[in-house]
Amino acid sequence: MRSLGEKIFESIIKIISLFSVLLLVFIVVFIFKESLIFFNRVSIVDFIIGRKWNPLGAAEDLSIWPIILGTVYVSIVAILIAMPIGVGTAIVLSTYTSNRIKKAIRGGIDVLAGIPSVVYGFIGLLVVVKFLEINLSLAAGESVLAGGIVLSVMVLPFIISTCDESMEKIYEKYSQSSSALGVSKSYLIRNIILPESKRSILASMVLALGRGMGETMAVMMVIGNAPIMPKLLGKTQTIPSLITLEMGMAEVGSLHYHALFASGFVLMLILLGINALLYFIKSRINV
Amino acid sequence: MNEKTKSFLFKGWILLSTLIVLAIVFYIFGYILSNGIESINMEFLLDGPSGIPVGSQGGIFPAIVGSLLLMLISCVFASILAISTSIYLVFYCESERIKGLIHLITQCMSGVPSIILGLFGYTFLVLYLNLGRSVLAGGLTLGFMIYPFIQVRVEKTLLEVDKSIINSSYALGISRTYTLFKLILPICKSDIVSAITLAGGFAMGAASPIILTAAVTFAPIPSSLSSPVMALPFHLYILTGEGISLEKAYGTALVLILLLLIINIISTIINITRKEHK
Amino acid sequence: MSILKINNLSVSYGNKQVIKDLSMNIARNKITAIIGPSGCGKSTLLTSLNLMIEENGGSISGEILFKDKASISYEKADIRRMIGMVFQTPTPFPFSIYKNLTYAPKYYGIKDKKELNRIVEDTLKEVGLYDEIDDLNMLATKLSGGQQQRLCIGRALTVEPEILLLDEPCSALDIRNTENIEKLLLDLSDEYTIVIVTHNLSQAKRISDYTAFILDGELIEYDTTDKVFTNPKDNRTREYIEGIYG
Repeated sequence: MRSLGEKIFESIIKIISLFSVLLLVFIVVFIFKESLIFFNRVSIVDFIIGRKWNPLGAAEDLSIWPIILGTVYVSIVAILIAMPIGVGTAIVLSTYTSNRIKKAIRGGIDVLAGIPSVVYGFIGLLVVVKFLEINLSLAAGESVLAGGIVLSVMVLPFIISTCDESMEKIYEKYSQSSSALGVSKSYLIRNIILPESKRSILASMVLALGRGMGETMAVMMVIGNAPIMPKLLGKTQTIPSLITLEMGMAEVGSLHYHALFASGFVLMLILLGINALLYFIKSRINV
Repeated sequence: MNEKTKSFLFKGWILLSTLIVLAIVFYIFGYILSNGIESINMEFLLDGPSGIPVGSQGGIFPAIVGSLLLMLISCVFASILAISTSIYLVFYCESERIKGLIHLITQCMSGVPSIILGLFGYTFLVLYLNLGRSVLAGGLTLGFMIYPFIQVRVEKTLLEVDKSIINSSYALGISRTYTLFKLILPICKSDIVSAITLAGGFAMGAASPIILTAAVTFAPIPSSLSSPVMALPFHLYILTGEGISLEKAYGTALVLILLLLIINIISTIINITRKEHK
Repeated sequence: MSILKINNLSVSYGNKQVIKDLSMNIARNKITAIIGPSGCGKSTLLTSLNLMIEENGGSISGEILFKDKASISYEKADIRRMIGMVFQTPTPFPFSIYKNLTYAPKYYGIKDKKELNRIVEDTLKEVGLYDEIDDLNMLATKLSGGQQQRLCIGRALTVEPEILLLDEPCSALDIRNTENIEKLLLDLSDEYTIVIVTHNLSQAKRISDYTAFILDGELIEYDTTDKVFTNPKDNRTREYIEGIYG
């Protein structure tokens, strides 16, 4: 009796686990299959390097080079802004603060990480975009820069927590022997801790890049969504926002519809590459 | 540059960074709170949206209920899958290769952007399976999104249970299943619940997976799993994007953030009571 | 009179053989001590006796007869119920004392509240905790180390085993608690067969009836404790007892 129950339970667990894993694989295969229909008509190379996105035009008019560039551009701007701030904060958290203050600041950063992206987009539209319009006297503040600024705030928590964690370990490792030498804390950090945490800093950067490129709502609300070659102060388009905005309108089964899947597929490939890079960097962090 | 200047610049940099981060945290909350607080009253919380265009008057009650429903469905769905997979990986799977494969797949999945999941949910669930734009389709799509989040945390919790405690149960001649239900799961319960609540908050705030699968501009409280719903993040997007009402948008943002904060506090309390228990 | 007969037992983890062709008999209602330097395989031997070794990835060849019947012909669960085990560091479940002691009886189908209460009370008396504990709903993890270990011995007794295996049960305890446990084991040996692995030679001398000396997975000497300590036959045993292996 008892062992029958055991066997049934074990089988249920196995079946559900198998189902979950197959489901995950199925999602990827499904996206691939739907994009394949498009790639049968337009070659993947033309799709990627072509300059024009016009859903109402011919097949050759569906290509996403400017959109890929826009996706990358916004994320890179975000990282350029967020890295120095994030690393600086991580240094303070891991070495300069008492436990109580550390906890409080970390709590605040966790909250920052928990704010939904649509709220970031909302504030970005009302504050960042307006600010750019007034101060740079732009006709429209929706731009790569606006997207980058909003995104930089969103990736800050990832950067801070990744760096903070490893810096804390490195600091614990060296602080005693270094203070025995009579060296100041700032000297220790600049000459040992920062160089030692190089890989973690790089890992946090790649992580942030991946997060940023997949981000939808916040970016979509502040970049103006025009599929043109991106300029820092001009409108742009990213792959996630392209899919969000056009999927509802695209006729099911049309070339436009499959092209949207294809762009999703390209995004997944890019992110897969980034994740592989991240995995590679992480496996070499030996703290 | 001498050591003194270097040290000075260095300290200036890190201090400034921290101040910026703190300023952002306070600014965001201050901004939403000060602008949103006036919009919140009983009518806003308990009435449906009205006016022309819809949303310019009235409240957001259906969106609150819709968001909670979506969160509930996604949590139930994802937890069942994630907890089972974790139990399988920790207690039943004997092949290192299968373990590695499942970890790899889960990790890849956690890197898939939510809009791709939305795309899948829209095409497969809404169109192919004919679920339509509905609470069910949206909840399942959000479930795909939070599955890796819950799975990773639950597995970690299960692995942290002291091996010698588990062995002393086996040494009493007691079966795996009984050990799992009466010893391991009770020990991990609060960690698991807290992981699920955090994931729930994550699901509730997400707009991109539900734009195509569940959310609509106006709907009453759903009467069945196949009805479309209103949801707070989508409502906020529509109110701002279409320029319907800034005042209502501030209120919606504040309600959304407060709900998430409450969920976070609940999860923290669960964790603290557990620590005291030990 | 032997409750356990071990014939040509070999145990290995992967390619590494830890116990080599070991044979010995364990006498009923006596205390048998297993001694030897660290890493000699004494804990492995102990965990082979209730087949716990399989949970840790070891494999067994040879024969272990429990009451003249091969232990592998029993259900694994039955063997473990009849041969209880207590580990090196106390392993109380993070529940109340009451739940620790009713955990196993409930599994074996005892539902009656009165019966469970009786088991808890009897067990606490048996291990000498009854007078030290006021509140059965107290978390077991809040007991002192010595009390925790006695609770774990008690928990092993709740399934009414015939043999009790102890793997260095006092190594994490101070002298006073060690004394308590030793006294407890002497009392229990009227009713149970006890096999104890110990690092502490004087402990083996104080409480055991028989002593087995193991070196590198081989049984070097096995006799009454008195003989092993006063007049060992093997030179290696003498050297170990005189403290050469440390």
